[in-house]
Amino acid sequence: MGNEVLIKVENLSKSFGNNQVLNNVNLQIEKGEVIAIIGPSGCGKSTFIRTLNQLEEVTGGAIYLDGEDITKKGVDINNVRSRVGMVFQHFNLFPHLTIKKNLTLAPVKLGLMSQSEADQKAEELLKRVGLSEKADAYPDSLSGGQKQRIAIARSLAMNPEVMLFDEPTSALDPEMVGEVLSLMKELADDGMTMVVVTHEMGFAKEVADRVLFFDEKGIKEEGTPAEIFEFPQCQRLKDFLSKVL
Amino acid sequence: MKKKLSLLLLALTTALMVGCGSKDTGKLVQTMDDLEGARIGVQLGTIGDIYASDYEGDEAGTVIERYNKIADAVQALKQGKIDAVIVDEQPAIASTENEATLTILDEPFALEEYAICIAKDNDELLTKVNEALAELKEDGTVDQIINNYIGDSTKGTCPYVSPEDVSYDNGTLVVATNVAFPPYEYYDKGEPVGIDMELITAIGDKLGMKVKVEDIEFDSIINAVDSHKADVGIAGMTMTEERLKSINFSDSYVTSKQVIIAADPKATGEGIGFIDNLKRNFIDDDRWTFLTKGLVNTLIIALCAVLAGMVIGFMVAIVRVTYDKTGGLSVLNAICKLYLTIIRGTPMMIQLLIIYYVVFKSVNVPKLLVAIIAFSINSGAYVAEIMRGGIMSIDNGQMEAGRSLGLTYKQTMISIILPQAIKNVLPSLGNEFISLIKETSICGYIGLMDLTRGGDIIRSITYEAFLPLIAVAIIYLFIVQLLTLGVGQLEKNLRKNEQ
Repeated sequence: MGNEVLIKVENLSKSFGNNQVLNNVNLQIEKGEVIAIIGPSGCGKSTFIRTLNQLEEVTGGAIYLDGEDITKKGVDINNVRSRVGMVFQHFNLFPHLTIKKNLTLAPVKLGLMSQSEADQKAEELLKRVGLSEKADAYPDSLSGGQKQRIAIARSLAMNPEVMLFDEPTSALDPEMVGEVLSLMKELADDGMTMVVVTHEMGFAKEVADRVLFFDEKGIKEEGTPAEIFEFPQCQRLKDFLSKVL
Repeated sequence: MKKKLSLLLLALTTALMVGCGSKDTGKLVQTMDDLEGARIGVQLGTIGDIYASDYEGDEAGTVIERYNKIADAVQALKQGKIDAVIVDEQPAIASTENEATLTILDEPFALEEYAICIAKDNDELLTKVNEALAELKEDGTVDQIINNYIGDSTKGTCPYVSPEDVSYDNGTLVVATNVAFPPYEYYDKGEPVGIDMELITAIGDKLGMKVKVEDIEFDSIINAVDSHKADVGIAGMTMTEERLKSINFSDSYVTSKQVIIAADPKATGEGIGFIDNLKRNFIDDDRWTFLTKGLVNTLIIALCAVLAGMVIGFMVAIVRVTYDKTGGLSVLNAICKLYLTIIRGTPMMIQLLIIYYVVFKSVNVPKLLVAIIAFSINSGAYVAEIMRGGIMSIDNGQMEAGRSLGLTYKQTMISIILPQAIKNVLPSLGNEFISLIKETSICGYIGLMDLTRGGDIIRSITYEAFLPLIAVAIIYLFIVQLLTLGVGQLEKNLRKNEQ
């Protein structure tokens, strides 16, 4: 495991009006690390991951990506986001575009690749996620699992430095969870830095390098999967695990 | 579809039968005294209207019905909806020519003098017109013109011809009139003709000015002259004290009688047959061309307005959505909100009149353009709300997905949100276009010949209310059906795209 720090979160706070969701969160993520975030619903884990690419603006603290504070005013937020991939619970594919167009739109629009380069990259990625034959289909013709694999491919098309997954399997039928998780595992094995909010404890146990338990507006407990799942310390985590395992 | 159409035709035919049948209730008017307690029809804003108003609300319960056209009043009389019509003598003769069941009472209702109206602040023109009029009376031209239209032996024998050496160095004389008042002004082969038309041409020749006729509603003529939309108004108009408050009048050029049209108690038999009636309304003098010309204008206005309205609506919707979603553009948003409030809160007709008479008061803009502008602005407001609804209906996740890939707000809007929003609102946009087409039927109020007014003109010539109206209705229906089909097909194609 390399120890070069990719993301550093300092004293992060977030409120919606008077409702504080996150309070004083601190975290360092190293390159190539896979972080799983677990916790009861409403604990702020989704909000937290959405602050990492500034879909949610923070109300206090700082987030550094490659040493640059991305919460500062005047930061080129579009540039930041192009380096941070995001996969949503509800896929959010673009229904009016073909699968291939879904993958190539952003790189071409942002001038990162020519259309033919992007097309080539898209074909490689579709092959990697096993959906080459769907290149010219529209999202509505895909199953949920296929949609999420395409959403992952769409993020990968931007060559991101880190991938954020916000409950990527929560909207899927149970029989489709596996195909998405195994794709994510492959990504992790290839050395992608990943932050995954998940309810799949098996995935957290097996794939994550580190597990964060979010509760009461912040990271309540963190450690290796073994530490978290075999020897939970705080009562809240024990309660939580007893419910989900 | 075919079944629907034939059902429709059946309904129309039934309506036609009912409309043609006449009812025979109410009061029989045979002398002036009978007017008390009768239902009297007049043309809105005419002298007949003013005189008849004296009877209104009297103890005998006299009712005054005001119509936009003499033809409508005559039609109502024929159907027994009213008991008498008070109108100028010559139009009365012309409009009862083909009506065996109607008669003009021998006893005249009132005598009156016609004059030309000119804006209060235009004394220079008033003087010139009076001088020209005096000269024309002197050399017999006025009598010649009147004889060309009135009098069985002289009718059509002595039309006014412009002198060959006349030059129009002094520009254009814009003349407001209501071409629905034979024999003073009416359409013949698509051209406005009549006593007033020849007289004003003769005056124009004297003044060295080319006459340009604007055909508008009678009750808008004084407005048009007062606001300098037209230089003079001539429409068998009598000088009254009320009118003198807002406008000046030239010397009188003809004396006319107000007469009473009533049902003829001795009448036997019906009017002319259905086929002859069809022929008279559409075939004679190529009258159907009023409908085709009107239709072209209606389509031009609707098409241009829907396109321009789309552009306006689009921009307004973007501003409103951007404000709603990000809080930016607050000043523009306030302006857009004001625009939407005003346009959606006032009737289209009022907007059209305001744009024509107030906004473009002193600028000479073609009426077609005025109509296009007015309808674009109106349509823009409705399209804006449709588009805004369309954009708001797109799941927030689409914006987030676009932004998370590094696209800017604008890029996401253009490449991701708008294409989906437009597809969603296409049926609503189609409906907007359909209602816009029908709304253009108010263009007659600024004297623009759209489809509805084309039918009106035929009605003013033939004094037949029913056939032209039905023809116009069928044409509108046909266009709307065609569009409905088109929109449906478009929707189907778009949906197919995504599967």
